[in-house]
Amino acid sequence: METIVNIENLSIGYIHNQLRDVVAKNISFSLQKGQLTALVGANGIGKSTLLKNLSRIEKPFTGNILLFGKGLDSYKLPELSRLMSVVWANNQIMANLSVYDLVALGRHPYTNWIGVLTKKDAKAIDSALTLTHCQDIIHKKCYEISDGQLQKVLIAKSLAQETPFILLDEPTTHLDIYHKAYILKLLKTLAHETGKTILFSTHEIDLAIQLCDQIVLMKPNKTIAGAPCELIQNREFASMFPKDLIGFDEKTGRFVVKG
Amino acid sequence: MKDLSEYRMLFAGLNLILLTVILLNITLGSVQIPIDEVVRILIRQTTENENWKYIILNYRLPKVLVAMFVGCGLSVSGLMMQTLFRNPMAGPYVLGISSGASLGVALLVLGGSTFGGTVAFLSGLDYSLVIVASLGGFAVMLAILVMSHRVRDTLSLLIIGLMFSSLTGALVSVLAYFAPAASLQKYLFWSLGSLGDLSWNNILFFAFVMAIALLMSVAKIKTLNVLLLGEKQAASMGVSVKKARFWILIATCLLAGSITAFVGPIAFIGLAVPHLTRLIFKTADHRMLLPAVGLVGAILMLACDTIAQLPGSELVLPINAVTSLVGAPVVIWLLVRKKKMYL
Repeated sequence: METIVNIENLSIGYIHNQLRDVVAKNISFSLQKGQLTALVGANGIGKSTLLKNLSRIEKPFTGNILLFGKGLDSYKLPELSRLMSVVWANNQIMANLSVYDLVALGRHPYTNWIGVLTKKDAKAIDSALTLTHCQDIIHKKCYEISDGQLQKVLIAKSLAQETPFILLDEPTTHLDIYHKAYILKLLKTLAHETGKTILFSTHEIDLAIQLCDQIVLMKPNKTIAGAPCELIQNREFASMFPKDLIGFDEKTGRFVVKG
Repeated sequence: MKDLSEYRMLFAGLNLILLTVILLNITLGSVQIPIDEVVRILIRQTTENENWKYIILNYRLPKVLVAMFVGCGLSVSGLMMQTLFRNPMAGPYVLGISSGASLGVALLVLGGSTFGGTVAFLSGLDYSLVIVASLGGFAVMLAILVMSHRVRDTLSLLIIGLMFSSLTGALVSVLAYFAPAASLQKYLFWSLGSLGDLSWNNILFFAFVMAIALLMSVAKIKTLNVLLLGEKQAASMGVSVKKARFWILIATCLLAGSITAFVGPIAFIGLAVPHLTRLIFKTADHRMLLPAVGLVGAILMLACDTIAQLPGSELVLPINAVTSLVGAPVVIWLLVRKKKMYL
């Protein structure tokens, strides 16, 4: 299997008053081609920080992020935007952009100086819309569609960007259980059928266990990566949260509130 | 997405309206000139009435050009700011560039007696108002550009701009409090705005600056479109957000700063026109919006100026008051009607 992303011994965080505030350290894992990976962990453990480092918004203190075997920093920005696309959470799209126009913006790295869409661009947009089942809403404005639909459209934008690696920041927040499953199923299909490497952060651990090829679990002092059943066997989920309130039921693969 | 042909119709319509307003603006005024005479003078430059020719070529035509530059430039800078700051209330006023220019002029006109000497000498010069206004606007622009590198998010930058406005506003008030009545009147006249009074040489220079700034704006159309998705999202799509912010700010500052320097502060055009245009074109695509906003801005400015001339009377209303009278209700109406404003 081809390794797309390799993360070695990463230590990440923010700089406050010229002092390093380490959020998470000792992070090592790799992502394989065509696999769907979930990034899980308690609130404040550093999932978003890790995604920011992966998308080069923040720089890691120590360690390496290798994309296709090359350091993330060695890529030029336009080059990077053809290899990796990101769907950020809390994306308030204020614009009266139509769904089609939004997805078309995914072609930004490929279009000319003023953004004229060629036939090739139109084809990529159409196939992205088809894969995400968004053809029926292309004329709607972004403020007219539901959160679930918006998430689909943003994923379509990423597909139109035609990158082998896709990062998503909490794509299932604000969605009901049906649409949560729908989005994750869609991601799984995309990974398996189009060979994309997809990493997303989420709090839906039970769904992630059912649908993902790999789970990256962030805990206060270490980060573990592995197939969902492996992590369950090793009882890794049980120590994810403080034990006073909830416990992990290994048979059902979900957390339950203690009596 | 609408059909391209539909957009073409809209653009054709707007151009027609623009032509009509230009002719109306030249025709109407304290001296009415028949419209066929206007056309004849403009095209063949011959007429029986040399007075009319003189009025049109040296007074009304320059004013029409200036009004078009001002309307177009302010509106385009307003559009870019609304997109950059992701805030429907942003406009050239908000960044404090106009206030910077006002402070420059206030220092010259109001502070003249206080500081005496050199300043008083300067105020005798013709260009001095333009120079100090440019300097004031430029100073605030520099300050904001420096801040934009230190401040990470654009919302803070917006607030800094607002603070600059209040600061310069307060300084102007202090100056005004101590200034003699005559200079206060002079400052007041400047702050009311004036589209006339520019020589052909000045207009040429003005046009040159506008052309450069507008070209810069056009070059940023693609980036502006991606910025609609937010800065973080834009960064992941190959846009260097810091660079984009720098160039867009330079372009808006050039537009707003030079306009304020030449004609004084003009309110509401930069804020209201982008919203009006979005209402007509129903798109967020800057490839359509940017030229459309420029056109609508020019039309609205000419219309305001036509009203300001109070056709048939000797009186002329201050242009800044007219744009506020037209612009403020438009913004209120938009807010009430749509409840939510989208970029």
